[in-house]
This record gives sequence, C-alpha cells and structure tokens, in this order.
Amino acid sequence: MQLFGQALISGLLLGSLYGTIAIGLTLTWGMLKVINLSHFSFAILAGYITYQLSITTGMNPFLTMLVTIPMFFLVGVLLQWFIEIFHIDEFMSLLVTFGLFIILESVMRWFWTADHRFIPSALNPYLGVSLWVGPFALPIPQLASFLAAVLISVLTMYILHRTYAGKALRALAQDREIAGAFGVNYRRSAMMLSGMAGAYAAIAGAFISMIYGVTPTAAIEWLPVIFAVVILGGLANAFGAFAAGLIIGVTDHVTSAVADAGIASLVTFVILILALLLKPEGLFARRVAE
Amino acid sequence: MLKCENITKKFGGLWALAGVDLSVAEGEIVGLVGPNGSGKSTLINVISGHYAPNAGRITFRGGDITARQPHQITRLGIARTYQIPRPFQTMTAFENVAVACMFGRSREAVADAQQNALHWLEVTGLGACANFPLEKLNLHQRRFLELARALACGAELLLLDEVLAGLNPTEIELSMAMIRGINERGVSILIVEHIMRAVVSLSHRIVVLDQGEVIAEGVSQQVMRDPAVISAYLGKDYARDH
Amino acid sequence: MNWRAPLAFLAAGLLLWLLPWLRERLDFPVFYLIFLYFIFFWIAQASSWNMLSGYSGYFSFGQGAFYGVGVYTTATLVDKLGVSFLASLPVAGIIAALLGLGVGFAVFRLRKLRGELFALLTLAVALVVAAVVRNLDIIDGGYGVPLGQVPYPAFLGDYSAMLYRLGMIVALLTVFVAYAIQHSRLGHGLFAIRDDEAVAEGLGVPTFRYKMTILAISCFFAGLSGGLHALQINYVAVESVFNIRVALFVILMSILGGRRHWLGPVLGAIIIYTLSDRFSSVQLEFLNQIIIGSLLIVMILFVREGIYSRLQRRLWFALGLFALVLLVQVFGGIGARLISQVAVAMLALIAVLLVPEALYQKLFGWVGRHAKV
Repeated sequence: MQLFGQALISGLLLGSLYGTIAIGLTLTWGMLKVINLSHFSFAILAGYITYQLSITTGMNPFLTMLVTIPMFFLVGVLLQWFIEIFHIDEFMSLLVTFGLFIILESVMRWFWTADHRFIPSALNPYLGVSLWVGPFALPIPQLASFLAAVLISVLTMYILHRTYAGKALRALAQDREIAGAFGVNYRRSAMMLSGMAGAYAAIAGAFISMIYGVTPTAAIEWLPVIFAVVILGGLANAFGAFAAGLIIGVTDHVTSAVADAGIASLVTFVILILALLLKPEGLFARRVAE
Repeated sequence: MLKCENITKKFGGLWALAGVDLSVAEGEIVGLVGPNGSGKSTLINVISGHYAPNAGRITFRGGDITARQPHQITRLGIARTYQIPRPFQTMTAFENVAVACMFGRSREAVADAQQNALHWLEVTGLGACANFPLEKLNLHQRRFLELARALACGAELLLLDEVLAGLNPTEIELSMAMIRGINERGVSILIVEHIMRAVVSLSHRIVVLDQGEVIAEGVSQQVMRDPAVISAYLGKDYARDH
Repeated sequence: MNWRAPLAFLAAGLLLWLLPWLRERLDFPVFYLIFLYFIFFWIAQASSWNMLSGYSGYFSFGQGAFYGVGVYTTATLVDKLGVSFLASLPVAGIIAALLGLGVGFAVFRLRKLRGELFALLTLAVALVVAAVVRNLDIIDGGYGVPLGQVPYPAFLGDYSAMLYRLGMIVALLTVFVAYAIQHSRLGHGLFAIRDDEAVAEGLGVPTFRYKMTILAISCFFAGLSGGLHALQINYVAVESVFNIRVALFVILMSILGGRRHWLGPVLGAIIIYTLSDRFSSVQLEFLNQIIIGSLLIVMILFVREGIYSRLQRRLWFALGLFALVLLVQVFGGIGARLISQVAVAMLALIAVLLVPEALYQKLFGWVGRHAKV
C-alpha cells in the first residue's frame, strides 16, 4: 500500500515535469502549426548549460535558470522568425526541426561527450533531500518542478485566455491564412509564444539536469512520452498538457511498481498509439464550434 | 436517370438540405440555382458520395446509390468537378487525364490510358497544353482539365459545381459552348451556377433551392417569372444580367 | 513496362555478381566488397521506404520497426530455431509485411489520419516494437542474439562475397520492384493519392487497397534487407537495431535523391552512405550528423523535389564535373583511397546540383548551349 502511494506521489511529480516539457510543444504545435522536434534538444541543451554553469561557477542550479530562460526564450523567438521567413508549413516544420534536432544532438555530444553528466551533490544541495509527508517522500527538486509546472500552466492559461494577445493568437490559430493578413502583429505574437515555449523548455531542462542528469541521447528518450502527453492533452491545451502529463507520469510509476520498468515504457507507447487512433484531438479538448 | 427523393442533410444543428427532390432525365441539362447557403454544393456532395444524407434516397438508372463511396459512384458513371479546381499538382495535364482513364469506368491499362488521355484533352481544347506542368495553366484551362478528367472517367452524368465563376466573358462563352458540346455527345449534366444568363441559356430545366428546400422548378423562362423565386433570389441578379 | 527493363536489371545483376571473382584476380582489398554491401543495404532500405512514403505521400518515421522486425526474425529463426539462414530471409520479409498490414489496417481503416499524425504513429509503432522485443525473452529479453558463423551454400563465395552478392540481389530486387510500380497502375494511383487523396478516390482509385498493398510491399523489402543485415551485425541487440538511425537515413536519402522516382533513393543512398562512411573514417563522426542534419534542412527548404530532377536537367554538366574532379584527384595523387576521392567528387556534384536554377543558368547555361545536348 505504501509502495503504491509512493508510486502515486512520484508519478505525480514526474508527471508535472512531463507537463512542463509538453506545454511548450503543444503550444507551438497547436497555435503556430509548428511541430518542433528540437524542443527536446533545447531542453536537454539547457540542462547541459545548467550542469556546466554549476560545475564551472558553482552557481546554484536553480539560479542558472536566470541565464537559461532568457537564452532559450531568444532561441524560441529566432526559430519562429526562421519559420516565418521561409514560409515553413506544418509538415515541413517536422522535417526541418528534425534536422535541427540531430544537429544539436551532435553538438551536445561534441562538447560534453556521451558521458552521463550529473551535477555532483556538493553543488546540488537539494539532491537527495526530501520533504516527508507521513511515510511518503517528496524529493525537493521534484517538488520544485511540480510547483514550477503549476505556475507555468496557470501563467500560460492566463496569457492565452485573459490577455488580448493570447486571445488573438487563439483565434488566428484556427486559420493561418487569415493570420497572415494580420501581418506584423501576428508575427510578433507568434515569436513571443515560441519564445515562451523555449523558456519552458529551459526550465524543464534545468530540472532534468538536477534530477536525472543529461546525456546526448536524453532528448530522444523523452520524445515519445512527451508526444503521448501532447496528444492525450490536446493540441494548444495548456491545462490538458499538465493533466495528461500527470496521468502518464502516474501510469508510468505505478506500472513500474506493479510490473517492470520495461513494461512501463511499453505502456506509454501503447497509450500514444491508442491516443492517436482513438482520440487525436485529446481527452481534454474543448468542443470547437464548426 | 438520376432521382433524388427527400434528401435531408444536417450539420450539427443546421439543416443544409430539408427534403429535396430533384431528378435529371437522360440527355438533360438541369440547372441548380439559389442564393448562397441554399444547399447547392451540399446536394452535389451528397450525390457524389462525399456526404451521406440523414434521410432520403438517391437512385441512378434504377439502382440505389445513397451513401455509396465516392469511387463507387464514379464507377457507376457520375463524375463531379470542384468549385476550386483540384488537379493533381505534381502531374502534367496529360498525366492528370491519364489517371482518370486508368481508374474511371473504362479501367484502361496504362498504355491505353496514355493514348486516350490525349483524345480527351483534344476534346476540351487542351491538346496544346498536354505536357505543361500545372503551374502554367490558368483558371479557365484548369476548369477544362477538370472537365476532361470527368469525361475520361466515362461519366454519363456530370455534376458541375460553379465552373464559370471567375472567368471573363470570352471564357464563359467558350465554356458554355464546351458544355453544350459535351451534352450533345450524350452526357447529362447537373450544373450549379450563379451566372444567371448562362444557366438560363444552357439548361433545359432549372431547379431553385432556398434554405435547403426546392422552391421552384421547371423550364427556364417559366421559373424565372415565378414570384417566389424572384423574391428569394433572382431579383437583383436577374435585373443585372438583363 | 517493356522487356528491356528486366533485362537491364538482370544484366546489371550478372555483372555485379562477378565482382568478388574479379577482386580475387586483381587483388584489391576486401574493404570494397563490404563497402558495396552497405551501399546495397541502404539502397534497399531507402527504396523500400520511398515506395511507401515517396510514392503515396504517407510519410513514415517507422522504417526502424520493419527493418528491426526483419533482423530479429532472421536472428531468432537461425539462432533459436535452427532454421537455415537463406530460408529465414523471405520469412523476415513476410513478418515485416504482416506488421505493416496490421498498422495499415488500424490507420487506414479505423482512422483516416492526417500526414503528421501518421508520421508520429509510425514512430510510436517503432518504439513499441523495440520495447516488445526487449521484453520478450523468447526473442531477445534484453540479452541480445549472437549469430556467429552461419552455414550457407558454397557457390556464394567466401563470407564477404556472400554478403555482397546477397545484398546486391536484395537491392536489385527492391529497386526493380520500385521501378515496376512507378510505371504501373498501382504507381499512378499512388501518385494521385499523394497529390490529392479525396480527388483520387473520386476518380475511382481504390485508395485503401493501394495503400495497404504498397505498405505490405515496402515492409516486405525492409524486412528482407533487415534479415540479411542480421548476418552483418552478427551480435543482434535491441539498442543497436532499433535506434533512430535507419529511419533517419532512409528519409534523408530519399529526400536528397528525389521521392518521385525510383532512382532518387538509389542516388541518395549512394551519396549519403559514401559521405557518411568517409566522415567516420577521418574521425569526423560528429560532423557526420551535423552535415546530415544541415543537408536535410537545406533540401527541405530549397530543393524539395530532390536532386534527381535537377540531375536530369543538368546531366552532362554534372557528370562531367564529377568525372573531372575524380580524375584530377586520381592523377594528381590527391586523397587516400579511391572511395575518398569519389566522395569528394560527389560533394562537388551535390554542390552544383544545389545551385538554384536561375543562378545556374547565368553561370553555366552557356555550357549546355555550346555543348549542344
């Protein structure tokens, strides 16, 4: 019973990290019609930078986000600018970002080798420290990532639903051609959104670095799970991404506890396939008026 | 030849077609007119099998074709054109028609199809453009390409969906002559159109739709004098065209 | 399709068959046979992928699944069930084809999936297959499958000659089928589906049947080639078989070469593999992926139709340049092995083919006009 409870808690914490990564992807895919495979590369690269800054300057890993967030916000903006300049459509974006993905993987391997990079506990004081609630452990870094995920979801939903720019983007997401007619304003909002996604990737990357460490192949390891989260949660749906992340995180940990870690990943992929086949619009889709 | 009985189609809460009866006799040209949103294109889509009606029956040459698959309906001899022409973009005009020959009613072998494709292009006056890539064809030529494709399919009933929109007067005259020519070869036609003088001139009969219902039907001149029709729709357009 | 085509392929096959025999007479290194085996492997993989994704437009990210199933079918049959190696090959193809049909049925019948979702689904299938294989002890169980030396008919020659010849046969077979399909009703129907499936259906193309057919054929050859490759890999393990490399390479090779023609993936495979091999040999492995990624981006943005159509238009100039660069190296004593010299000549070829049409006419148009071709 305790095992199950712990698995549930760990699953929720992991799931929140899934949500953080997924939100950026679901936003750019759903609103900007850009399937950004390199989103994962951005996250892992941010993770590497977090690692490097901690190692080299002894900076607190949390503080490194002050560097990585603006950096990857800019990266996101540049990516969207590039996509606008070259009139890259949805399908092309998949291939182009795929190219970027493999370039970045190679760059990361070049700089940091294929070794697993982990911030040593001397520099990462929160590692291994847990908040205890009864018999259940809540590791601090994971707890922080949960809080970050909640904040990000709430912030994103606020921006999309309460601000003018957000509403405009949501309306324009329905029809890209009309969006084009809106010219400069659309472009700027789109670049801001992409920048936001980049910033979220940086945050996720910092946590990945702190909790799991990074390797060059990490990006592709997270890919299928996050796509499952995005599809399950519904495109452009920030709340959906968060909720679906939690669901999949819990499923993952509970399956591992009950069965076997190998089976757990199998279950995730099967969920992805079922989601694609049965409900491509996601579990949490709001009904869109025809 | 074609008989639609009580065709009903709903989208969500909206009745696009509310019990439409329409028939096309062998060798006829029937014009289908009506204001925007009256359900003309929906009816075409239902006949061609792209939408299944919620109620009603469609028979073609006695056989029931309601809710059959599009390619099955093509196989039976009904072909349609699209409002915005949809040629195969990466193929030449010739290849476009060849596909129709290969998979239409005559199911020709590749070599035969390639010969016959040229024939159909000649019929629609596109012989010279046969090997042009699609970008080089203008709207008028693309419309004719659609016609050539429909004919190559072995169509006996052609559903023309606003083929004259966007054409200049000369092109309209040429198109009308082409349509008459096709009809004289024995192809029946159901033509959806906004350009009144063309419809009146071409059609043996006109059916008027408004808000999913047939409000008038009959020989062109007769229909145009019907007050219901004039008030629903014809008034401004008719006056402008005459 | 006339009788000339099969004859040409047969002739090519016979000529290529003789190469190992020639190698013994002229005593050049066995490296070349192995290199050519890999070229044949990638030609088969890229062609099989392109038959599906290039011809029909249904872009698959899951080549790894079908290839991997082929590898593991052969590995399991030979190692665990004692089946003869040659007999296991067609079975590998068939099992892969069955997997493809299963996926196809779910995707094409149950759900009409859009392009991007189909791509993701095939990626997911590849991951599921890898996870299943890893977990099933009867196949792999995480331990890998050692193949070692397997018995085979003596007329095939020594080990490397055998791999070379079988690889050549599989590649020729795959390319021939791609050629045949392109000129057949199936091919024309698929191209129509690629351009506009709804209209194709309206014209009478049996879309479901054709998509399932090409999926089965494509997967069969992916599996067949994979089964043979099991022998090359020798120690078959999940991580090395089911990684993204195969899926990535076949996509890039076909995009580079051109997706609308059977020659496209062949060209792409030859060029990409040669360059990739040369980069690894000079310790520039990481550059390998960077160049490939960049090439993919450049091709998608600027040369979407692949180099084949441009090669057709600039044929004599391109071939002439290739020959020139190669000969200069050979006679000038530049470069280490022949293959490296060929690789450099290929780079020159690609560079010329990437030049946009307008610029090309300005710079080199005079060549075409004066050479009267």
